Amino acid sequence: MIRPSQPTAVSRPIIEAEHLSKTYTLHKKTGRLKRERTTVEAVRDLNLAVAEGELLGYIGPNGAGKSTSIKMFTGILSPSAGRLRVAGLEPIRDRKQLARRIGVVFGQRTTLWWDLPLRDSFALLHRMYAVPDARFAANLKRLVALLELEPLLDTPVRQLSLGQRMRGDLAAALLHDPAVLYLDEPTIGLDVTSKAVVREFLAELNREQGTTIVLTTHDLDDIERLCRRVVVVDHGTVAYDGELNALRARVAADRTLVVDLAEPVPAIAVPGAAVTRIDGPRQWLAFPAEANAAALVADIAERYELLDVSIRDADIEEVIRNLYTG
Amino acid sequence: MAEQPVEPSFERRFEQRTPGAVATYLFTARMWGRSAMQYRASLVLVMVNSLFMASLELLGILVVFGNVSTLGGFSLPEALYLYGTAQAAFFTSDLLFTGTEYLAVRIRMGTFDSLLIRPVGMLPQVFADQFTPRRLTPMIPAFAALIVGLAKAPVHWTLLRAAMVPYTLLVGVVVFGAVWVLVGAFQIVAADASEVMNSVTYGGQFMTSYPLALYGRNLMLFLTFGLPLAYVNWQPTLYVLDHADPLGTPSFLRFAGPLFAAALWGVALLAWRAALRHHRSTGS
Repeated sequence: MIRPSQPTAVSRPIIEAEHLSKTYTLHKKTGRLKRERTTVEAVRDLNLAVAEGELLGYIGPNGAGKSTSIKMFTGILSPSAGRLRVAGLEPIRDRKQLARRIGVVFGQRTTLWWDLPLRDSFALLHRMYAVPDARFAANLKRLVALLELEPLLDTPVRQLSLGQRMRGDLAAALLHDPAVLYLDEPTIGLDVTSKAVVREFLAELNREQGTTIVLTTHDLDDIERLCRRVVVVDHGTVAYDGELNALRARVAADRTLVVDLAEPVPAIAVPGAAVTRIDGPRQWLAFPAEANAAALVADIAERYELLDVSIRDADIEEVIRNLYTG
Repeated sequence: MAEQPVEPSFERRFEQRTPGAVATYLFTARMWGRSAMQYRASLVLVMVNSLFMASLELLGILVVFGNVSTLGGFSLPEALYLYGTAQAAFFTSDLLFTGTEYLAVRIRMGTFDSLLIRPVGMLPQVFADQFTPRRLTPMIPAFAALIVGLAKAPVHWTLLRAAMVPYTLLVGVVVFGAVWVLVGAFQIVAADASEVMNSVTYGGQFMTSYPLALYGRNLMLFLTFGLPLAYVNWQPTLYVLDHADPLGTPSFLRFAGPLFAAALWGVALLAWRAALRHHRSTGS
């Protein structure tokens, strides 16, 4: 398993899961009175260590155990087995204390008060989390500015657009300065502009405040733009944990070199690359991600007259698909 | 790995204390109340309607006494007092604690989890859920019956008898509070069971998730409130009105309300904790 380099400041991981498992027992009706017991392992032997200040992409197909594990990290579900610490706390036992250190945003469900102005939800959180007044005022000011919420503060939440509401939810989750922010599909259903605002905000939050972010998403653009480290969960366990680039290299080994030649020629024959497509004077060559692209280009340039070259990384979506199926 | 002290970096958060149960209840209920006030016209209509329904029930008692002068040994004022204490205690508890009734819906919608991620107690949040001033109006006929009954009943007033009146109400509200907790615990377990079932068998389209909450509500209320009522309302009222118990129960039972209330709360809290534990192990 490939792991990214640890931050230099040696500290205990803010999320540490060791051999974490979650088993559900289901009672299935098989007759009028008979019931059949089946157990489903939603999470099995999951190991994860997240350092403070990381921005982690937490992805996987539906039903892979993502939500179940996030629910364990946030103190909603109790693990069946294994050891779990978040911010040094045991999520279920220390639920209230943990709640003060985490923020949670569910993309499809708002925690804001539907019928009341946005401002009122923030005021409630102020009291609920007992945020000191000066701190609250400063945080509110900062978040309102960053998320452009000023004109929306007095609007009832039900009247906000999806993107506006998401920005409101983000602010709500951060007013108490959580150390860890969990995001479940924060960009789902948002238009391109709103997506960009949310992504930029998250990147800045992570950079400036050092907030650890665990991002669950099906939008691989989110991952590509925000996360260096990616954890892929499949069949209830960690299928991949490492850098996004390394994931590309590991799964879809090939990058693509596109060359424009002076004139059409038969398929170029160079060691370490294979032509996948020819269109007039343009040819596409697949080569392993870890291979030296410069050397390959030099090799070709030696034998052909090159007008232009470009290199394309494997599409992340393709990479993930390969990983799930492979 | 050996236990290490928590890194100081995790501790840069505030040291202030979490709000207590009463504070949590009050600010949550206030948000719900204000939400309800956003739809003023509808609120007024519903309030008028529930006032009407509750008054109709009272009218029924008056009609019965139009034909007979005593019922089970109780005169009209006595019956009004008995009815008034029971209703007043019930509707006060309904105003304060019925949030537990919405738990099945919350679990089905997945919004129960958003209560679990708050740094405050679960019960105060749940009690205050969907708080609405709508529930104030049924208290009007209840208290009217109580006051009229008291004024007209031939009570031989002593200090103790007078103190028994607010006491009856208080114990009643407390006992009913415990019953609402039990209702909540049941809803969690029932909703979880059907949710987990549905996700496997019917893909969630089957709507029978809340057997008690939706269908047998009246039956459930009768069964769950019937027994406690005997202790919180009937027994102290026997004392105030100086009646012997037709069932011949010993007279110390007239004052056993708090013991009963404490025992019921004990059971209710155990059930509540078990339900939460159950939810956390099944999820949905």
